[in-house]
Amino acid sequence: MASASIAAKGVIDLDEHVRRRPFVFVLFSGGATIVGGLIVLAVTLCALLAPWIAPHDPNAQNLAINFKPPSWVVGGDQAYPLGTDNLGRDILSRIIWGSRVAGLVGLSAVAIGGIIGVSLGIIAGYFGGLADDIIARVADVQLAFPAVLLAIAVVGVIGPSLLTVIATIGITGWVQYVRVVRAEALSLREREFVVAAVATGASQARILARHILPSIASSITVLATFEVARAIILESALSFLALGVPPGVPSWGTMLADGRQYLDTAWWLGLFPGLAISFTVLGVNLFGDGLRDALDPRSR
Amino acid sequence: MFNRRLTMLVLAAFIIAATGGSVTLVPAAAADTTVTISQGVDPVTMDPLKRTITPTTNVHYNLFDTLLRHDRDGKLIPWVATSWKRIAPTVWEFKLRHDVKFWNGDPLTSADVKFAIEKIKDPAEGSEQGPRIATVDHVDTPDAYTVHYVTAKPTAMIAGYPWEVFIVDSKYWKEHGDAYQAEHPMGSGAYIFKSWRKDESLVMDANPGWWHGRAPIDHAIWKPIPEAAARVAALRTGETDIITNVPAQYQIQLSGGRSTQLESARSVRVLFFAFNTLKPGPQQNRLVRQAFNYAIDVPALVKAVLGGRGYETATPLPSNFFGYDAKIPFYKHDLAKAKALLAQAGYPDGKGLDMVLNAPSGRYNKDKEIAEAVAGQLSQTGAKITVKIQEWTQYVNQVSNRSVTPIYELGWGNDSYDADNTLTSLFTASARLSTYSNPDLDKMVTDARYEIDPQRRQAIYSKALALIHEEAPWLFLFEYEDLYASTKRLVWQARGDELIYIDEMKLNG
Repeated sequence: MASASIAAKGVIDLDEHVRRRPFVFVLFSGGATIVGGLIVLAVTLCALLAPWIAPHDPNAQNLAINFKPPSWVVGGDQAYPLGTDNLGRDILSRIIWGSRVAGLVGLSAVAIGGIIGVSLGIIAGYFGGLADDIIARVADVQLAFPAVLLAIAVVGVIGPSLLTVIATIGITGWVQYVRVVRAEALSLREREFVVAAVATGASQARILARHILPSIASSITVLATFEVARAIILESALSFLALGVPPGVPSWGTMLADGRQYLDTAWWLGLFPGLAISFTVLGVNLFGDGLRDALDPRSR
Repeated sequence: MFNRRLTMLVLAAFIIAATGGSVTLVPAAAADTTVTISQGVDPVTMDPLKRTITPTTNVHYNLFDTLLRHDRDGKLIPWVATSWKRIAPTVWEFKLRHDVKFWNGDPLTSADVKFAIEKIKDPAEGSEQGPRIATVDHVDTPDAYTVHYVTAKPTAMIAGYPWEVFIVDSKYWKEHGDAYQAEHPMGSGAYIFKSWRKDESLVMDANPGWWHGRAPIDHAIWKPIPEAAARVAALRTGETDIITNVPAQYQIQLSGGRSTQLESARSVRVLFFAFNTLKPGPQQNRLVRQAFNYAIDVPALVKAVLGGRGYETATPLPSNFFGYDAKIPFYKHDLAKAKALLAQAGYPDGKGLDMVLNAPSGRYNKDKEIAEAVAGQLSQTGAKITVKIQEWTQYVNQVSNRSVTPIYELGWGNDSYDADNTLTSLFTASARLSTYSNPDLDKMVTDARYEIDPQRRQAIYSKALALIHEEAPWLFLFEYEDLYASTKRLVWQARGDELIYIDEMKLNG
């Protein structure tokens, strides 16, 4: 009996051990996360390697070969696997290059939103007081305002350009961070290790950098992945409304908008950029889900 | 058709039941008829003496009368004026009908015609229609139904574009003032203005007292739909009856559709990009302008973007206009020559050229795509070309005050079938829509206007067009073939001058 109990204990210990596998294993333990990760990896590679892997110049027009269907459809051409658009541009190349805009907008917008949001969130949550009141009120005001509407207003006034789009999407994103970070910082500052750090006379900066930030890093990471997905959708939406990146920069949203009017005569113009947006956003979300599960102590 | 009637019946029955009226079925024939027309853009004003934008004046033509009209073949026919003739070298006489009344009952008299002309002539008005009546020195009104257009010198054409100048109720106008007219028109036309919600719908009802006889269709609704695909969808669902600027890719579906039919007419409209030569920049260099003209492959553009529905132009005039000269050659696509010219201008391989192509979206058939395609072709020279697309109202205001630069897309059509309007409005120094200035050309245009001998007049225009061709203040593109589509219940024939006269329509079945 005793040995059985020890054995059982041993199993539990072993189990504990298994659960402390390297993080990467934990992260990719679910099939969905693997799929998400692969999609994110593929899009990242497309964005980084666009000039080398795109078969054609994404903006090179050839009016003589416009509306070529995808290569597997009758009338298609092997040189243009996903067909050509209304101006004879290669759709595959435009989608590959479009991943750059998606990636660039996704990451930079998240960085801008993240930096603003995290800073304000920590100030509000950790220091509290008047600053908290002001930040919380401003955040409320912004939350009451639909992000797309705000983005349309800002871009409408300043005029569309890649920079405007990135800045606008970044600025509309900060509130999410503030809400999460403020709540976490609020509870963290009461925790023993923070109180202990205060008691040992650590400076505010040190406490923030060494104790608060690392503790909320995982939440920020998870939030950031979802924000990337949001930024990609918002960029596509703005480009779709002709308020995004200017013509000449291949963007999935613009391609979708241009392709829409040919949906019943040349479906491939709109379908592929639509799929690109859907799969990228799906991939980022699956990956974000996995990340959340892996980082959440309760699910370990 | 049947469904529509049935709906009407059910609706009528329902209304009668709901209002507690006696429940008798209203015969379908008694139901009011309505036609809905969808252009790409909404009118910008109801003041008919200001603008020259076709989607705007198309609405005005149904609200206001003109002295004369063109029939479908471009032949002048009597309208409010029963006759017109030159009674002295510098006097054109129009005899007016006696039975024309404005909607409010005011009779239409020679004073109203005089008032309209003077309004347009007044520089303070800033009317774009100025060039139309430039030859009219003043208007005399010997009696209430006789109008004399007096010109400074004998003119070749009938003075004052009497088929384009709308006649307004001068009494009403003076009572209410200028600003009021922009939203409260008072005309004598086939249809009476009812209501207007901007960018949504403009409603007009048949004028029961119209001198020409009440129009067959009771109500007309103008409902702008900027997106071409949405226009087509609206037509298919029966939400609208006529759509303009049908994109080429829908030709086959719409012409073979169960409920839709396709209408086309060779248009008086030419599409082009103008260089703003009044603003500093490389576009002030003639060699650059010529180079760009050689860089464009117009036939390929027309084929790819318009499904072949267009005709290349070498000058600003459509081929059926007086003054057109077939001997002037096209700028034939020649990239090597374009590059050579650019090098000569100091921009070898396009280096140093970074220019913006401005274009509207939704105004002309495929306007945005044409701009993108043109940018693509111009980029082949090595120049950096960026496309900037704007919404029409905002765009056209920049065109009007000549602030749009360096290159901008515009379409120009007029129903005079004569060179005068195009050249005066778009190339002479003082015209509001001109971004080109050349005293020699100004003189030729003026000379031609006052040259009565058709042969000598043609000779002047040939010289003027050759100069314009050489100077290339435009990227010459093409004449449109206009494509309309309508529901099959509508009996109507498209006109080459783009006018949509609702009184020419009727419904069958």
